[in-house]
Amino acid sequence: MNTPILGVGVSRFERRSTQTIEQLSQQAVRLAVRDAGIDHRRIEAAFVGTAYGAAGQGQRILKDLGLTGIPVTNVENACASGAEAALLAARAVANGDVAVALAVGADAPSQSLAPGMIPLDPAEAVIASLGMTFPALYGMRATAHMERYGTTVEHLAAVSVKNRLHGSSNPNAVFRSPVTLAEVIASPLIASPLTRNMSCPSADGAAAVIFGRADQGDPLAWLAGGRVESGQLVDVAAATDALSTRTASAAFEAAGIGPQDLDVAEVHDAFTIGELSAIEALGIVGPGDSGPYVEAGSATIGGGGVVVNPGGGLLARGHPMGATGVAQLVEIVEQLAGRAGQRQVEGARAGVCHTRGGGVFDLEANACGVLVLKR
Amino acid sequence: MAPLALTGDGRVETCTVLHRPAPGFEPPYAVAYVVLAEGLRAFGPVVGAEPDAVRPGAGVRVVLGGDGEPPYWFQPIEEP
Repeated sequence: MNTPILGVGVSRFERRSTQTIEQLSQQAVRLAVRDAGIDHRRIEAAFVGTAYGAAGQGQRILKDLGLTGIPVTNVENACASGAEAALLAARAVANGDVAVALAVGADAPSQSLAPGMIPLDPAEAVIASLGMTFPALYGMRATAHMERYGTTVEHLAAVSVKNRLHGSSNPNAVFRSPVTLAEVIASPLIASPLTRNMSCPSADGAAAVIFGRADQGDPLAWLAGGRVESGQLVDVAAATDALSTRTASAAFEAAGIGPQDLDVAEVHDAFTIGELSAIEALGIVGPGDSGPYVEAGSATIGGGGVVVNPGGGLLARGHPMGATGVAQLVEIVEQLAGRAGQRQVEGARAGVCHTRGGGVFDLEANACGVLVLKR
Repeated sequence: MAPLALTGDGRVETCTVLHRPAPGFEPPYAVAYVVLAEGLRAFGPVVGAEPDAVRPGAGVRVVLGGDGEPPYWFQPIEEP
């Protein structure tokens, strides 16, 4: 595909923002337009991903930016909404439909959802009556991973320690302070073996990316290829994440580069087990090797391996569901453009974003998105 | 598609103990994916054992619930 990325922008992520989803998104779009160095009237199409946005969410965001009358596509695909919006925007440019396209990802769950955990699909009353919760899916995957591969609680905790360390140099993150292994393990259990410090915070936030033909500006990086897939009716809590494996394989094939080429990755660490299963699914490490890889520091900035979640991941940045896929993209673009400051992965030339989620019962997940970038 | 009679016997494939409950549940409680003898996989709560004692590989049996109860749950079975 090789679609140039001309500009990126991201809002602060906060547990309870004083700004609306529209204001957060507008801030991200203004930053991206300024970054691209273009007149905003050159944006010919917009793709807006939210998991819990209002009907017409894209139009509600764009009307106050003077972006009216253009095609606006509203996208909902659970936690892959943002990745889906970005892929559609990149395709619109790659297909020659438009010269410049905008992708936005946003959510403000403190305003659109009741307090507490992300709810299961309310249509899924039977499964809730059996005691199911969202964290239960991750807890059962963690148990299965430990059982099959000998993964330990320390491995699961090491993911939080790394991502909170990375997040401490991300000014937009919810959590900007490090935690110790002992603190992570001692924090209250949510869904055993996962503790509160192994779970990401809910957050309000937005991110935006501008794609354009190469003659439209100075590319910061290129989206080499991507894929969004939906889940199948197979093991939802297995030790290995088959949905992410399938999606990653298709994305790498589309991109023409593979996991061996990667320098940096942003993956869906809603719970720490999510990062471990994701880096195995992406092929960064072999099945069962993720815990020791993270514990040894290989995935930490300066650790010598593929750096995972340099922006702090969902664990530190926070997780406004629809925003996450685009926020991951922004982080990887900053890394490839050499603009990541204190958290720069030296010499990063290729990166990947991975996100998955959604609780339609008995599906692996509603959707998984993998985007492959290079410079 | 055709109906399939189940013995109700199965084995825990994976499980977790929930400390943040679903509505109507008292924490902590165990939930599990169970592979039934006929090869089907089913999700449900595990009742009748200390939650933390429920582990992968444990034998369980389906118990059907009545009014105001979950539609079914898993009961650990004593193994020699």
